[in-house]
Amino acid sequence: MAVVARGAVRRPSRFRYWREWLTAYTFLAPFLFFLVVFVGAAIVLAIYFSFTDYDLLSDPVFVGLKNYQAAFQDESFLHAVRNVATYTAVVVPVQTFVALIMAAVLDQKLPFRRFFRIAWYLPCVASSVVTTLIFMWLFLPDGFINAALNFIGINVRINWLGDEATALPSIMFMNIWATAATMMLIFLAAIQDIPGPIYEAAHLDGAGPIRQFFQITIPLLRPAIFLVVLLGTIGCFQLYDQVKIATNGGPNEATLTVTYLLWKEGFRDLNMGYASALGVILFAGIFAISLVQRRFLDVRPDY
Amino acid sequence: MATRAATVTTVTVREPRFPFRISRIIFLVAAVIFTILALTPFVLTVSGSFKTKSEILDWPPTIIPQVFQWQNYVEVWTNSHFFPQWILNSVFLAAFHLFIYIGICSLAGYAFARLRFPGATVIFLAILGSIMVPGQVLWVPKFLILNQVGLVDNLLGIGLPDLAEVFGVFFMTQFFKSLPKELEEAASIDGAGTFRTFRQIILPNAYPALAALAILRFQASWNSFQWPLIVVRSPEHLTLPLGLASFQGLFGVNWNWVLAGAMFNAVPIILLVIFFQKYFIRSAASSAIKG
Repeated sequence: MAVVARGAVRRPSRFRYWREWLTAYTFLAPFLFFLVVFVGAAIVLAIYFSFTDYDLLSDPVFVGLKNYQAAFQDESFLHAVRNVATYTAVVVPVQTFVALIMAAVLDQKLPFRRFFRIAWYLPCVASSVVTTLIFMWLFLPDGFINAALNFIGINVRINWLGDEATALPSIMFMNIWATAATMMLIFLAAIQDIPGPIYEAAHLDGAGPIRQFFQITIPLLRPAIFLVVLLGTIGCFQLYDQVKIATNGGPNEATLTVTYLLWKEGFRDLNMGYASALGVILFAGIFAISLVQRRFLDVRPDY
Repeated sequence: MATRAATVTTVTVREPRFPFRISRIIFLVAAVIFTILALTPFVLTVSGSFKTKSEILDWPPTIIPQVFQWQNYVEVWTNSHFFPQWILNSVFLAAFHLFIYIGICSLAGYAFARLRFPGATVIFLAILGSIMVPGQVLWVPKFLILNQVGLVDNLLGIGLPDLAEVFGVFFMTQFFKSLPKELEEAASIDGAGTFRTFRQIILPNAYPALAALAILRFQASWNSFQWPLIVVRSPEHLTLPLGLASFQGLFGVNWNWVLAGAMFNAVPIILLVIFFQKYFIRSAASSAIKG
């Protein structure tokens, strides 16, 4: 471009500028159209409807903050928030820890490590529907989970997903199984980015692989840990598929989540206004927790 | 287990140093345990999909079916009228996204990577910001928009909103930025316009990126559950994941059919991952932008 423009006078170059401008927007137009309609307008509508009562049949009625006030007095919503908080508090640390161990194991130059990597990753690529159906079957009172426990001497016949006490922990297990390897890949990439000379120096100083892991790898992985904790938390806040497929929020609201409540209010009971308010609250919650985590977890690497 | 014993011996031969060998064995044992945990549910599913309706609920459960019931796979296909239709719908959805989504993302990515225009930064930041909004927040408004234009309970209603997904645009922008500028400079000296340069010079050089995006998009479309569940009601418009989820309610105790049906959803993806491993690994590692 520059080569051509240099010999030309000022007017053609201005023309060229406008033409590039027009071309750029022509290239962008299809994507921008969908972005404006299904994200831009949708966000505005979500906020607007959250201030209304709307049941699809009659026109929306403006009700101010009523939906938000209702949410914080709604036993089901508070129950859902408690469930999600418990779920996040267990799943995020366990999944981060397991993923870190998996990454550390894969980083050793083990034989068959390509096989290991792909085998561990399979739970992450199967659809949530398939993995949930599989675990619903494994979790049956006559299923393999109970059989395995009996095999090692724990004589139980628990109805894992049907019992109030075990339903949420069962879904936690399912989800850690299905997402740990994705987090592992983030850790693995970060581990492989750590400059080799640091390890060589440690090796010369007599540090073994375990000590190197705890004193070099983990401290240098802080940015990756931040990312994994953040992505994990966001994922936990949005827990939906397993609940929708396996338990419908039950038994007795033991697995009710905010997103499931949003679906139930909006699409089963047609309280579109209230469902929108729940959505806005969910967004605010995720946004707030991201800011808090950014504050408490230092993201800068040390080298 | 046989492989585990074999690996341990080869390692011992190769690495005689004592402390290192111990930690290596620990790592290998851990690797084998993780592998068993990851694969057992799939192995049991394959086995379960070949059992009879009653054997699948036997206590204690059998690991290998007494007689392999191949007809489960035929019955799941014929006994529920809509099963072939669900597969067809899922194929349609995936194909629709493969062509349209990838086209849209390439065009937009090229504009961000190579063209200078007012508003570029603002738009790019707006796109970045939209990642922060969880998908469920937009369920209600997206549904109401589709309701206005009559696309509820319609496959296009499932497919169109996904075209606003920003991951592909980032992905293509990054890729086009990595291409050498000389490609276009030569073309522009020859007098080719931007469109022609894009179509004849840039796209042919972008096949690896297009293939990677196609594979990732296929996985997303083929597995997608939440949004299709909102849009579609009638049984003939369900996609395969939705159908399978409804299956379990429909047939309740026929777990052999449920598992056989699940195989139709899982196997294509598993094959794809095995053959195109590196695309998945890379995208997962860069999923920071996918949010």
